[in-house]
Amino acid sequence: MTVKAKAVRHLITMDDLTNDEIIMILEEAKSFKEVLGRDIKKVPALRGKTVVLLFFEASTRTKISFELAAKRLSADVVNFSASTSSLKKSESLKDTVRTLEAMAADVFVMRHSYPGSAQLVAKYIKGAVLNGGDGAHSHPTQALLDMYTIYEKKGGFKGLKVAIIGDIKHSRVVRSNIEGLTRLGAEVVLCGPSTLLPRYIEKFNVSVTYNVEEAITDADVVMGLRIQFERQKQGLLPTILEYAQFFQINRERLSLAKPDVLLMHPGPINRGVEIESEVADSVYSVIDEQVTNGVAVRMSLLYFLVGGKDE
Amino acid sequence: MKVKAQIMSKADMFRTLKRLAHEIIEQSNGAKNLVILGIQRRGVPIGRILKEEIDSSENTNVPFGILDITLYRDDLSTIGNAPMVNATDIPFNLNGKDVILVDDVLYTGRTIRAALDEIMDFGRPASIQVAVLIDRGHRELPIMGNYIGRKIPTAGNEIIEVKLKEVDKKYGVFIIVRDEKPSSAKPASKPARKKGKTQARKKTSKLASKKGKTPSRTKTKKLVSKKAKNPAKSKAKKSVKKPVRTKAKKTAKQSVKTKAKQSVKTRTKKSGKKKKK
Repeated sequence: MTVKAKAVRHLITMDDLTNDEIIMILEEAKSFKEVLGRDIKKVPALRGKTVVLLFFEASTRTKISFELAAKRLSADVVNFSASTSSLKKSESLKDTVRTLEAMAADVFVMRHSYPGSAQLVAKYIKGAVLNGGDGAHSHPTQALLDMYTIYEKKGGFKGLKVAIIGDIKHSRVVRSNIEGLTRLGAEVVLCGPSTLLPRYIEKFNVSVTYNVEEAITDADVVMGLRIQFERQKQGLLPTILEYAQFFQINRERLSLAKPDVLLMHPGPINRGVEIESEVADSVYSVIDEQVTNGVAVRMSLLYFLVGGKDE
Repeated sequence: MKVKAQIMSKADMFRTLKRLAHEIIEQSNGAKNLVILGIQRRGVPIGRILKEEIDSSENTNVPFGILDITLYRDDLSTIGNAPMVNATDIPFNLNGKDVILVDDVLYTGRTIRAALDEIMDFGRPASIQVAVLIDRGHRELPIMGNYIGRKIPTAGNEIIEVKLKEVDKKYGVFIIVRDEKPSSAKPASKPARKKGKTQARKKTSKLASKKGKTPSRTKTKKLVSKKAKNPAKSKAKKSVKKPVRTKAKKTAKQSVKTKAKQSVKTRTKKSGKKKKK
């Protein structure tokens, strides 16, 4: 008898998950975090599945995090590196992914510098596509792990004030976080220099301020964003030092937040630029925990999207 | 789904569990090296009851852990949607321990198989034994229960439901007969078991109902009518003194008796494997 396979689910933006599904993924991530604490950190849930990591852009934590997550679920992992591939022989993106699919991969985790690239790839292949960051568009798994870190510490999202400070314009993390957090009832405040705040961002159901003290006051969560030097060639900031003077999250400013504030950062950190080094290592900081949680959340997500039978 | 009979009341359940606890103590040299692991979800409260009984009888504190076997299931690659994962919590070392694995109903044996694999990933216990409140037969793997509350022969379309206060707000053991309507044929009962929580996975029930296929229903119907004349007689009385040996014998006898039927059933209800109640 044939078992009807479930429809393939992609994760391109947070829109691909319902609120209930987000909560379920976060709830189950607790169990996967427990697996990571065992002596044998491996469960057989995704045996026989193949996960391809397609990274066209540099990455440390997302790539390793996904690789560990897949391996700890007993999936096979194939690493694709753009610089040594046939892309160098001018093979198109479409042909590249179809070649990989022809080798029977089930899941494609993809990072690319063009917004919408994951969406495009999803159109051409039968496997599930997980967006690991596409340009400044979206980075849903980072949002999920940020949300898990908040969920674990605060127990929920309703009524929390989340201040996100830094380079909003170039951040894909912030777009996915805004979507997830506001949908689950958190209040999001964005703060940064006007040149790094995109126009019309307040349409996303968030408030915007140029005053970092105002953003941090009474916040439950303060999230710093990296100043993306590689995207700073247009002269959006006069100097890094000036940015640090007006927008750096330092001890004095953080003291305006609630006493049990969580300090988060998606990494990599520029110490002394968007976050004072001392604060990044303080008791409020959950930056290292975010990385640990990333593996658990990605396990939960992989299990949710590709656990069960596929075609 | 309709309730065919209540087999045990709350008092019956506690009496039986008390007996099991004492059998365990008797067989394990005073519970000195014991640890108890309850299998999610109903094995957990049952395991706690056993632990408390053993603790108060032997004046000790048996370590208690929780095991969720979802990620070790053998049907993860054959069922439509990934089932809900619950917490596993084993806050002690299993190496060299005598593990008592506790569940509510022993059925195909597949849950126990998964639990054995998971336990091995946690350490190397000296021994593993299985304690269940109900053994309903229909084993699909060579697995036995060491401590069995009650043996209840069931038909393929019957489900044993163990109700526990912690999960269901009340106590009791019931035989439920599955509807013959296609919409709630066998496989549908799996998602139903995990109430509420699985609702987020919208496709589950739709897919599950597609799996329930007609030929198996006609065959199981025949089985029911045969068995219905001979309803659930309890063999519990016989099994008090020497649980381990008598159980094993009986299991063998039963398996011969039902062998022919089983082979028909296993062929026709592949998708429904691992269903317990």
